[in-house]
Amino acid sequence: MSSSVEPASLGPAPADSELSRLSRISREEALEKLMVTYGDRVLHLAYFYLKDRQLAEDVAQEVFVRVFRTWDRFRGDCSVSTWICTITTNLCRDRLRSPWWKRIVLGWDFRENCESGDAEAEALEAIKRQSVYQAVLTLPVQYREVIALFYYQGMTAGEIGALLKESQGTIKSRLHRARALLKDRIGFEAREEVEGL
Amino acid sequence: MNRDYMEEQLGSLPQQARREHPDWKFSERLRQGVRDRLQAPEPKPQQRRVGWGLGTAAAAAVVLLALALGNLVPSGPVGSGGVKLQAERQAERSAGPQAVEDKTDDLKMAQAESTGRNSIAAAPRTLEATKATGVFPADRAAQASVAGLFRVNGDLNGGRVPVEAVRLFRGQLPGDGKQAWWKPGEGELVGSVLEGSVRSGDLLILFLVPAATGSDLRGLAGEGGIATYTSAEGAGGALRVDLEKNTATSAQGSFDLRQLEAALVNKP
Repeated sequence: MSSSVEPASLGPAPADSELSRLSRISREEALEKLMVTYGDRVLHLAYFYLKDRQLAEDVAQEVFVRVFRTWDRFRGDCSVSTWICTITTNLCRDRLRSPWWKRIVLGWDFRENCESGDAEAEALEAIKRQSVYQAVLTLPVQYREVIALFYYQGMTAGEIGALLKESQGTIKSRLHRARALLKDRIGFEAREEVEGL
Repeated sequence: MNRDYMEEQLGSLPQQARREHPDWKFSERLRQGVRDRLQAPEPKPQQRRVGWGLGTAAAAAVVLLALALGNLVPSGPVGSGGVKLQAERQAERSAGPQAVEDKTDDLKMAQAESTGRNSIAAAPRTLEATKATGVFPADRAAQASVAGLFRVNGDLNGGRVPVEAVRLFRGQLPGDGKQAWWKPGEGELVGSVLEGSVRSGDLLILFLVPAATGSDLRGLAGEGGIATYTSAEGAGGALRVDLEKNTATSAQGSFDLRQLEAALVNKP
């Protein structure tokens, strides 16, 4: 695997009391605490990328393996949360770039999409379920990614830019485009008319 | 207003995610999987380069079927057998159809003798009793697809089966050695993957089954969870091997067994 798991430079880290707490216990104990604290979040974030529960579980496990193995190298340049998010993002992106994914997984994804109809049908389904979450999952990965990091992970555009090695302007542009796509797909205007918003 | 509404909706994404998947937790099972992976050695950088592709964790499980294809291919080291087969096939083609049939029988007998498996010669044309780590749900098994071919380079010994890649048909192999599933670079398949029926010279077909995790496999395999694939619709109809038609068919498509010969001859 050619993943780059070094945390992105996210600027000065906030006073991370969590890190200082973790540094006082063994690496094994720290891992257990981190898995309990961040496991669910990592799992869901990975799902935003991969759209497959088992794949997300697999990546989430790999994230904590990386956390454990690179713990000594983590210098606290960013918060533990951001560091773990960075590893998750890198692993997911690696997975999406891998030939295996392209040849195998996307093949299945494609077939699934064929079975469930096209993007329009997916969007209609999302409307039916009244779930923005579902609609987000239908976005192309570059937009899904920024939406997940911004709204789910609670990162700023600057932090996302540092993580993805893109300019802040690019991230803002992608966010704007992602919102526009969501608007098109979910049909907020139509819903607002119906709901009298 | 419009944007505000959308912002509100997007702002509740974490809550929506939890609501959509209330049972999705990084459970003890997954945490145990992490601990298990940490027990396994890290793949060496050189192994990553050679393209075994085992750095990708086993989001898709690997199913290895040991097919008794002795009647199609001779036993022996990879490559040499294939070359021999090709030469014999050429001779067969020049000698006509009857010679082909005779030669095939000869090959069957030679294979049976070389492996000590007399049952091969008498094996039905449609194979049965192939085995795999069928620890995934049947619906997953039904999505199995052929990934590659391997030749066993030694008898089953203590659960480790030395194998050599003959041909990969589908990209990288999943599994990273961290899951005690496949040991990259050492040419070994590790774990209680195959049971007893594997002998040197057997040809293995590697199947990919999506979305069965390595930890699932390991746990269930440890409990003896071995599924048997039959020629018809065994284990979710994952595989049908038909030697009459020279095909191995899964729900994801059909694989031409005649490629075996080419794969053996043109070993990467």
